[in-house]
Amino acid sequence: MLKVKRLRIVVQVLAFVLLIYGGRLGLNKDIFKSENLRYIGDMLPTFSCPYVSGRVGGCYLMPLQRVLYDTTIEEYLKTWGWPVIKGFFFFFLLYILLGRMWCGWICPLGSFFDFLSMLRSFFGINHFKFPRKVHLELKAVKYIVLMVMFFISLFMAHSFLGLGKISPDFKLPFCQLCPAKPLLPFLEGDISHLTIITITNKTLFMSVLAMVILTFFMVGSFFQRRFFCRFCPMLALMNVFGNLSLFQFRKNPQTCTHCENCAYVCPMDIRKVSEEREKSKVLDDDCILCLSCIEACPEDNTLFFRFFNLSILKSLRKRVEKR
Amino acid sequence: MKSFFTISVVLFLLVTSQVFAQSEDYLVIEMNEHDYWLTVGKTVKFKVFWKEKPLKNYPIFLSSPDAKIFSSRTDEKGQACLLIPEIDSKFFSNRYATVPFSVWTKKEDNNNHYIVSQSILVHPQRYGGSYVRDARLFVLFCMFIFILVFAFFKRKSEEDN
Repeated sequence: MLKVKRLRIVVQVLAFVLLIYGGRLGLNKDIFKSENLRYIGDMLPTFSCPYVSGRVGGCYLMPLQRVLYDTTIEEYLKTWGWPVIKGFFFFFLLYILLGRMWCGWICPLGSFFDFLSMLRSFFGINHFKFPRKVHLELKAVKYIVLMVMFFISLFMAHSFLGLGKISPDFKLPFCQLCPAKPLLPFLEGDISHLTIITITNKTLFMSVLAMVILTFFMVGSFFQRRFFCRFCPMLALMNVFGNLSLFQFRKNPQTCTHCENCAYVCPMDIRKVSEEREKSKVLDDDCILCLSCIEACPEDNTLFFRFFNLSILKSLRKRVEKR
Repeated sequence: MKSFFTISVVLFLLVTSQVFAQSEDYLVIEMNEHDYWLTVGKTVKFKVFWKEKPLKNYPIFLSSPDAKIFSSRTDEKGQACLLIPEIDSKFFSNRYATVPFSVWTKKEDNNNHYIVSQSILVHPQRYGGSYVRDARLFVLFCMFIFILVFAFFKRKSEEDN
């Protein structure tokens, strides 16, 4: 019987090696002959950090910020916003292809934090959970992070309502503070991003904050499963497309006994799957499609995962009993 | 990796490219260090050639963006070392900016004056630069603090439950 958890770890390790070390293994994105394919490779819905020199592909958040502060209003008007739309369109295509599986199965940063969680389990330490109220309130943070990133980048290039432009010291605001930037190059042997930059007060502030954020998420991810993903703006950006992926996650509310096994095993502490009593569409905003819930569900054909109408995985009592 | 090599090759060509005043006689400054991310406080080695022969005891200059000029002389092998000096932080407009320094030398013949000048880009961000501080200890310190904080909250939540 397919053990999803084991399969996911294998895929995560392979994706991690491919995305972080692939360039060093000769799997550089330049193997693509077409310029468009290379372009798509930099629109990935995962934290494959562009600061990693041996990477294959790059995170979409960097080109998004760049296109916002690089494009003048004249260019927007002349091109009907095509530079922004083009990148977003390719990001959308990649999202359609795998949906949230980018987060649960491929994202190198998410995988690294999963490895930290495994380390915690190895030491026999229980994970920490936010109280329900705090968990629900924190859901909004990723949207706020996305909006702040968007507007800082936009206000850097344009002056709206006579407010003046934001200092270029805040260029790529999310990348400056993202824990992937110092962490993933570090895993490749590059320590040049574990630094504090004292050129101006702003760079000093941003670099100190970046180091604090890095340690906060590293320690947090040790104590809590997928701690960073709760604040991830990429997940917020994916939520724009909702359920549009080729991969679909569904529930049969009639057969669900609300045993809460799914809520217990969920690394994102989602309770919607367990609590929903009418609808079959139970994909939560925070879901990373790790499929742990399907594996833990003790009722036959209650939770299922499919590609179009082709069933890939469904919950089975036999599987749970066997465990 | 490929793009890294491309950048290195482009930089190499930039630094060693030859400014021709005459067809065959040319003066070359070759930079031995092909590091894309040069930083303040780093010593860079140069070689000066004339007609493919190293020039001994020859002047070589480095001018920084704040118009200061630093000079050195080539040794027996035509090599000279120049330290990239401290400059005012205003020249680094932000953490990603590179600042052009200029390396130059000149050959004075009876008839011709050739000046070779190349720009080298100095980056503030790379570890080891004067405007960059190693944060590893700071990271360890923050980790220690956060471990205490998270352990406290974990214990508290377990007691509440």
